[in-house]
Amino acid sequence: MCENVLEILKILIILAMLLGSVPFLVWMERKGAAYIQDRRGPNRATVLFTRFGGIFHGMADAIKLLSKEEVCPEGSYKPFYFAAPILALFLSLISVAVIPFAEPLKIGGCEFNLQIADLRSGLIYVLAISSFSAHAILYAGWGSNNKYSLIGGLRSSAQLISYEIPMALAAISIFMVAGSFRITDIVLDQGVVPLYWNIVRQPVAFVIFFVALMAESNRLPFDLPEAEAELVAGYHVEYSSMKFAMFFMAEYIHMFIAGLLIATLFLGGWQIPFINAELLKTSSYEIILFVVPLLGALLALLGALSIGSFKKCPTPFGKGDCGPIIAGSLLLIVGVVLIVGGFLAGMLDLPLWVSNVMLFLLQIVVLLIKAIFVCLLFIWIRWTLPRFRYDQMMRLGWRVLLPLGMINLIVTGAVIMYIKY
Amino acid sequence: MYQILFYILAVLAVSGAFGMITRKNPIVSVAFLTISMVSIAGLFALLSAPFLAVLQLMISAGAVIVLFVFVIMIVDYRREESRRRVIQFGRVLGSAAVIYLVIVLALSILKPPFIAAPLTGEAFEMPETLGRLLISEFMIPFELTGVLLLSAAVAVILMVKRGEGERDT
Repeated sequence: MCENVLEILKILIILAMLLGSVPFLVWMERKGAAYIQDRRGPNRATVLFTRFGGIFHGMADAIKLLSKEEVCPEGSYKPFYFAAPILALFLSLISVAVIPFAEPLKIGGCEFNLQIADLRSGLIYVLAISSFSAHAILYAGWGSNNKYSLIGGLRSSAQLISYEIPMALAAISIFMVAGSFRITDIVLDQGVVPLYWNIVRQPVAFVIFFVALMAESNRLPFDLPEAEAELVAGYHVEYSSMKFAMFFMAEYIHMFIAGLLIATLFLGGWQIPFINAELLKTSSYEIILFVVPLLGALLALLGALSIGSFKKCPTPFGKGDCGPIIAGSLLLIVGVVLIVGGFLAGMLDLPLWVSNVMLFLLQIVVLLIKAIFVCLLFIWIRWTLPRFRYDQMMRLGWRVLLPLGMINLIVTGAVIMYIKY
Repeated sequence: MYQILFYILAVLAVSGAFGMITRKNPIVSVAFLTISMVSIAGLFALLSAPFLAVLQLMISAGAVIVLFVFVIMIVDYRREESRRRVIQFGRVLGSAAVIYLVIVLALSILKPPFIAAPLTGEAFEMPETLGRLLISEFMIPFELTGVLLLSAAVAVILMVKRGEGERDT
């Protein structure tokens, strides 16, 4: 009984997390772009006199996109034109299904595994979905009856086909190291010491995979499908309102999943660096005694600093920002509660499941931090490098990454043979 | 549950294939082909071969069909339609293929040693099993398929090269 409820629950949790990541990533991208270009970035949208560094712009954007007029071009082929955004969003959402967010949590007889499907062919499923996602862009490009869209769609499919192969080669070398297609096995194989993570064991595969993923999610050095200088906006020229928003969301979800995937395959997944999960499970008492008050002290310090940076609260029409004082006092309260609660809980004898739940949450947070770090890397690269020319991109894919991937495969095989026999 | 899913997927696969051969517009017919391919991948998954299903999705529904769409979108298909010779040749070849298929199907049904495919069970889920079968028992068909694909690629390059000199004929 509990299994069925939990199945539905975890699908909802993961989907909510993905959809919620979109405004956050958009905000991160805008802020990143702004700081790289020596600007301030979005900081005007306010809710209740607070700004929080412009994070509410996402909400404003959503309202704007929802309330805009939908325009459908006259000569478009309607089934494709309407199916394409749905397909794009759907395909980028389902590829998260095989990513494990944490170790299975066992409470009593119930097991809660925050991974929708533990497929034995896990990574190949991700590759399959990402090779399939060219359809959405192609249909959008062809269906909207616009030559710029069509060129964007064609470019995208050519790009996808050429970068699919190096990506698969990099994935194969990971399979060879881990000895399994299952993502859980790949994560467990890497262990907790960063020296044995795949980014150290397979640096070439990491570079290839990173570049190929960036090409597949149409990020800037590779965003030829929507190169605005040449193609207006590429495959989504003719899309407006929520249909455009769906493409937009699909792109950011794709980026987030790329971050999760790299974190899982190369950065040790949900494993906390240097700390063994078994150790944490057995010594739950000490953790609560030390770590929780420490965390609380950290939060309280942050809150105090934030309150200290507060200048003045605005009158209804004036400038100013109440954000620091609200966030700061919240953090301070949470910190104090954690300190007191940690000491109280350390004195009592807690049941085992409390520490298990805490470990579970900690693993999720660790994976998310790794993924967001990779996304930050994506953003950094996007706003640093100029766009490739089309032939340069094709040359990079076929003449550099493909041979590199093959050589890497052969070397990996040779090394594994040497170690084993 | 299993049977309902099977019938849904089977109907989708067959109707996708039917839609593919009846549509005039090549891009729409490729979309129907995609539906058919995806349903076949679903059928593989139902036959407890998820690995094969994922591969089907990746290669047939992903790479190959994207390549199809790509070529169709680039090639001006309206001009291709007007070439009577191509169409006539296609008819001859198509009817020959249909006759061959009917004969093979009839023979396989009428002849006594007609065995339904055995259930492969858990072992087929493993990529190892598939890989071993491919390079031991089915080595020669596998290699021959590779040669066939290579010759097709060479033929395409040859045709494209020849087409460059005599473009407007």
